[in-house]
Amino acid sequence: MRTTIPILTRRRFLAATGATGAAALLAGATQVPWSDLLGAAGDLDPNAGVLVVVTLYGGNDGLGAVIPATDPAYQDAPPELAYQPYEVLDLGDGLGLNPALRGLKSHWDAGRLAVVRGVGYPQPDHSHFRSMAIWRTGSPTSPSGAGWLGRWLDSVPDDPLRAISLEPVLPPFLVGDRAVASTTDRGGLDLPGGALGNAVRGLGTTDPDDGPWRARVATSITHLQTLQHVAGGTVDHTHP
Amino acid sequence: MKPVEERAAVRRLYDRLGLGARRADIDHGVAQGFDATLQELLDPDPADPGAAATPVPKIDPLDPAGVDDPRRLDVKAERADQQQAMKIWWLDRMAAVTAPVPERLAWFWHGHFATSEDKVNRPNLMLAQNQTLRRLGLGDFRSLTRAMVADPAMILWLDGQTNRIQQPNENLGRELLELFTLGVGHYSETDVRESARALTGWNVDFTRGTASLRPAKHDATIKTVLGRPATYDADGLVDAVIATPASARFVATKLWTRLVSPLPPDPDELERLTVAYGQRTDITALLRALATSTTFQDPASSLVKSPVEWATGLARAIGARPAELDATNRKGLVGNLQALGQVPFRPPNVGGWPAGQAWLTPTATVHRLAVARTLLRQAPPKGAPAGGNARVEWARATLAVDHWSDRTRRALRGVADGSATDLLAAAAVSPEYVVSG
Repeated sequence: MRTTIPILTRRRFLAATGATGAAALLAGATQVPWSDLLGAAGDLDPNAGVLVVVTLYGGNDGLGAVIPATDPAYQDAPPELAYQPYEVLDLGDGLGLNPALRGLKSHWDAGRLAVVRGVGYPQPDHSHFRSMAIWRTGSPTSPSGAGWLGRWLDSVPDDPLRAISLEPVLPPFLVGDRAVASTTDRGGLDLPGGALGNAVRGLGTTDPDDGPWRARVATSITHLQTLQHVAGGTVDHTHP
Repeated sequence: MKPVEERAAVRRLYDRLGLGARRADIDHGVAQGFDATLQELLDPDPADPGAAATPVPKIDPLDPAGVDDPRRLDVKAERADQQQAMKIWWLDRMAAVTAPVPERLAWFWHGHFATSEDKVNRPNLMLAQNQTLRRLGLGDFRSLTRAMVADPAMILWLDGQTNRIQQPNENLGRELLELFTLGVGHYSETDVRESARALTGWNVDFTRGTASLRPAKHDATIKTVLGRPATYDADGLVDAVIATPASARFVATKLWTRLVSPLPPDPDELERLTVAYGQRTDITALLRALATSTTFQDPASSLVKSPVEWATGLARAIGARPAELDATNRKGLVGNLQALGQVPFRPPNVGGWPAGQAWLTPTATVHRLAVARTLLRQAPPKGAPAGGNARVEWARATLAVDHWSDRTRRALRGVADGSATDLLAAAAVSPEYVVSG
């Protein structure tokens, strides 16, 4: 049994992101107000800790985002593309944000933004495919196994609310050797009503005859019901 | 290890080497026995009525339309129509063929030499690649790989067009070594660069759908690949790379982990597989070796069905035909497969699709159920007996499941008195059917 506070706050987080933020993102809306996404977690216990991972596939020019504008090497390579020190949003230490990143600058000024520069590993691999695999696994030496958050999920007890992907297809970093994150979907989490829905729900218990894979299928159906219950905002009578 | 009973072993042949077992397959296979069934699957009658009924669609090359061309939106719409037609056609063909192994191998090789319409953007070239995978998929790996490095869609996908003697592009050469033939750890960065040089100079004719070598753009000088200097061209490079023991082990292990067990073969087993594959790089002989391994008959060797394998297996079991769906239901079918994470002609990257637990998300059951109901509406079940328990047993036999667990029997019993469609829809999303046990 979970304690009262986490289930309340998690439910509200999920209800808001699942029903509005995620739906808008998946529907291809060009803008989702950050206030919707962030506000959804607004009443979390400050000690609970929520990590939101936003993956932007494609290239980001690091030197064009966090700009070493006073560095002569930057200014020389090549001069016509370089931002001048007066143009960038100053972060101190000779660094500045790209002038377009005013929103991030206000977070920086409020002490709510950190920048990690020059992330890498020795002897970088030139393979795009392998580089993506390393990024997803956080493992430069053997990037074929579980994702970096998947490994965490493998190490903690099953809880479908522990990690949630806002798209129906799991990104590989949320896939462990054993456990996977939950998924949400704009199409909804609803099973049909009546006898069919009841039958499918009835498949969501493990059976002594199940091997590991079959047990995982049954567990995923249990998890679907938990998500449905929480995202639907149904009053949870076990937690007054 | 006590092997699975023969009925389950026969069912595995149809699940793993084919596209899912049907009730009639099990009856037929059990009657003639495991060995005869394997032989029949691997050496099918070339006159396949199911294949004849699902001819390759005619996909015309699209006129190029530049950014300023007023026809641009029309071309875009036509491309989307072609792409949708091809997806439905392939799903329909997988559902319809009498002999499933060639189709299953075309599907496997599509995930191995994974190429996506998303970048290629030329449906006629994707379809041509698909036909090549089908034509060569059970032959020798050398011919198949030679065809793939010279395949127009593959060349566009991995930037072979821009790989020229003056300015080599390493993408195709790198993936050839890393993902198609050898695997990480069996080549160096030098090998990648030298392989790229061997692959320089290829050009794609979009309209004719052909690729050809332009000698002026090709680097014909000496390259050193895997320690051996020679004037490799594309064929020479493929021959040199796949002749290595590491390549045989790589190919055998890849097929093993997708068709037999997610755990790689032990060294003795791997040796047996590569001997069967041999210098001829014989894919059919390798398949026979996979199916006759002791692990193939180990009850623990279960695999999660990928979304397309699950959906086509269900379509075959109930006699559904994706091509018979109307436009709305076709869209629904493809949309639900997309939400499940697997759409033909659209792998997520050059590494192909994942396997195993990636398919077991909470929302997957919602989408599987939607696919099952779409297919069942197209092919309403016939012949369900009277009586709840008899109907649950009928659902098991219809989907060629070995046994229901108590959990599943109990759950299905609750829906068995209603419509046979609902009963089969629930059965199709059961752990016993989602996993090939």
